[in-house]
Amino acid sequence: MRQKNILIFFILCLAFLCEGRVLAEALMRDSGADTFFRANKEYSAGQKAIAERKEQEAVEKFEHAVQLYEELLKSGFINGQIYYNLGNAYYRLGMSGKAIIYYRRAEKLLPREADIKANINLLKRDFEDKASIRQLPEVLRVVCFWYFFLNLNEITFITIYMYLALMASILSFVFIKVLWLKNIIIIFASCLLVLVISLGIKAYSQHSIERGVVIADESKIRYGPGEEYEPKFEIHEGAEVRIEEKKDKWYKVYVYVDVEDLRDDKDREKVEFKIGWIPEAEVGKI
Amino acid sequence: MIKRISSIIIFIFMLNLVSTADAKEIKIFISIDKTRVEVGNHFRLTIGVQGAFDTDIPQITPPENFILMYGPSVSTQTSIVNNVVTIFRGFTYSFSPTETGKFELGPASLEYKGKVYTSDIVRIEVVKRTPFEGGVTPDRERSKRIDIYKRIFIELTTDKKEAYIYEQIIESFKLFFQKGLPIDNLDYDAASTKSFLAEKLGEERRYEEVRDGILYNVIELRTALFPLVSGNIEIPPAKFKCDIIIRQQSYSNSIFDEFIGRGGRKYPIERSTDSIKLKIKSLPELDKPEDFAGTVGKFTMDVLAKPIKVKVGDPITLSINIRGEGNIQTIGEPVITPGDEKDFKIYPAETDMTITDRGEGIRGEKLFSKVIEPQHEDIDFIPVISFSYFDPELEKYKTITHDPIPIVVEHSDLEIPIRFSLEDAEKVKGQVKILTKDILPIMSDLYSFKNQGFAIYNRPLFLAFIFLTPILVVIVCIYVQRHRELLQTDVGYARKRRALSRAKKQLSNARQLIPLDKPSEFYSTLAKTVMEHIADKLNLASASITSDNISGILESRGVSHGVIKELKQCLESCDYGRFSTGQHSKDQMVRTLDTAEEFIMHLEKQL
Repeated sequence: MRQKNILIFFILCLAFLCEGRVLAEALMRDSGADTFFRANKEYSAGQKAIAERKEQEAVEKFEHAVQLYEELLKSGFINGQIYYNLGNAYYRLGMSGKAIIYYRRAEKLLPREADIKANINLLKRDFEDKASIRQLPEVLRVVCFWYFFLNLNEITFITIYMYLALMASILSFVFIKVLWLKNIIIIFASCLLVLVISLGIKAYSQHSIERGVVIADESKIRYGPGEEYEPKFEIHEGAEVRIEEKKDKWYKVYVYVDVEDLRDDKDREKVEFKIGWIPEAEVGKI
Repeated sequence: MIKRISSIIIFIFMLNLVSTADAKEIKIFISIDKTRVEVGNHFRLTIGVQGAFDTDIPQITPPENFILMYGPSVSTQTSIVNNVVTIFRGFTYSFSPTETGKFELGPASLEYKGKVYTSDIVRIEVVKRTPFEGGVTPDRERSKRIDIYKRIFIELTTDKKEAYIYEQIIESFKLFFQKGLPIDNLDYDAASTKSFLAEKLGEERRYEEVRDGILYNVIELRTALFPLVSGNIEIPPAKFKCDIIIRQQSYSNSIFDEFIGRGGRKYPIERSTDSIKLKIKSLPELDKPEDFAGTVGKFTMDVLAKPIKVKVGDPITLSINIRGEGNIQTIGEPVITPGDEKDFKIYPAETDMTITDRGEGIRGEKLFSKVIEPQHEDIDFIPVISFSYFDPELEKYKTITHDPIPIVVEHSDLEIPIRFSLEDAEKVKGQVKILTKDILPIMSDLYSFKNQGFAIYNRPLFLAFIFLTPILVVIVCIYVQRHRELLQTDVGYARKRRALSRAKKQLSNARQLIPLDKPSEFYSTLAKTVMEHIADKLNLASASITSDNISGILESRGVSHGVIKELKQCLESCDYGRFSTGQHSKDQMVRTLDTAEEFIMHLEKQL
């Protein structure tokens, strides 16, 4: 009887944790929903103005929508939908580089949204620089589906629940010595290991590697951090880069776009040609 | 049938040879095909062995600066004159000298049946190499045996030695071989053109050409090169390999060679050209048009607009055709410059490239299909279209402009902007055609609208609590469960754990006896409590512990002498109280009880 009570206690604890989180989210949601709704309305009005060929009005509406979305983000309310809609609004205002930044941010939070990927692909088609980021094999995407299907927060929550479930099953095994519980412990422990590894990789790729997008129409990648250094090559708005270092107001970046390299093979081995320095103002961090 | 007859005849001859050859004297001699040779040219050295057909290869040591090109090539000849069989074996080598001077070749030596035969020596003069074109003087008697170098050679040329970046340069590779010279296994290793964009010009050309009085067959391969970098660029040498089939001069004019078709022998040769140095100039910065997009060559432009009568927002397709000579691939898009950017909506152009001629250089056209949409009714013209290129012959930039094309734009009744197809391409049956490409609409799902900024992974305290609490709970539960199990299963453990509480309970009972003034009963209870406590702590039977052996037992378990002394005092007091008949004060009883309590507490710490 006492063993049963302990089990019930743990189940109740888990339920409390879940429900507490849901309630906290519901309270925060209401505060941002109103601004979000108004911003969406402005965007729709801008879209309608385009259809009516009232370009000036459309620009004003989109600018207002951008302002509202930005306000919402500044207030600390972060949501993938806001980022995505903001990306759309910037695209309508002709700022494709900024649009890519917000689409990428939205993609981190809403990895299952196909619309975000579709818009990124559409924008990239028109960019002057063609990206050469290696695509992961489809098999990997299927096998490690949770990694591509869930965002970092979701993986963290699942990892915590898996950990609690493992602990609960260990606890149950302490009191009730049944063999099937041992199998469950092994299953939970294996899942937890996989989740912890996934979590580590995802957290590293999203937080330890800084990425950015060129927001200037045209940007010169230089050999060093300053105007006094010779330009190496030019990239254009929308080109994605990996930020490796910051010095004064310059970023050392690795560009993902294709760069025509006319040097000999010998030289190419010595220096990484795709790395150079770009002014901070011409890059937006993702 | 013929083959069989010839085999029989050969067999008979061989039998004859075996019988007669031994009787003959072995002779070895050495010869060269020329006594004067140019550096780098080849000459043939033949070591002839007469009198035996089963000899080893004769030994010869050529000078160090003679490179062996091939050899030995072995040939055997037999002749019968007046019933006398003569056997001759020739070992032919080809050498190429690398230094000038007079050299001696030989003697060649041969060991046959324990006897060493040596040849004479030959002398050869190696002279400097003379250019092919000017090397032959008119009065010099032309040798009947033309140098092998002159029989076949290659040339690599370009139509210009100096050019602008992206300008067309024609590279020509020519193979000359004397008319009638049979060659086989042609292998052409083209010069590397890594600093150029290369386009092959047509098929190979074959023609005849007379040079220095010799009629040659010529095979010419041409390539259009477009330099991608400026500066001094070198085209490395081209290489060519082939086999020349030369009929061997027969010593006996053997009918078998003719009959069986074995008269020819393959001589592999290799030729390489000189490298070509080119000076590639950068395009001048002076007068460079703003719309110049790197096109170099000579071009013309045609523009066709269709339809020219449209409604506001309707598409007009502009077909801009750039035609001319140069690198067609790199032709940049012509520029449309509207007076006001809001007049037209201009879509990116689609291109179609065609190379029309590869004869005397790359000629072709690039068609830009561009869709523009007039945005209001006041537009009367399609704006000026301009295209700039650099003419390398005139050495200046040229801009072709097309005059504004008059159009009629009518008012559109459509309120909803329907975008028409961007292309006039026919719709494939059963396939939906995408009219226009646009981003997908915004998201407005309030149900899933929640703050995702609460990043749980960024809260280390919370994570530490979440992860540590269950671990602590599990550890505590494991400890409790283990304790409970031991209490149930391990008697010693259970007695030990319960000893103190039991002793305390009994001491409390004893304390209650003090006011009742029952000293005998009190001391008896106290002694029993102490003994039972020791028995519980050590998991021993109470009966097995006596006042006599208790000290030894406790000592063996590591209990200190002070505590043992305390016990002895306590037990002595109890014995005295139980068995003496005198009066026992209550204070004395309390002191004994305190001593017992202290002993139990001390024992608890030590056991």
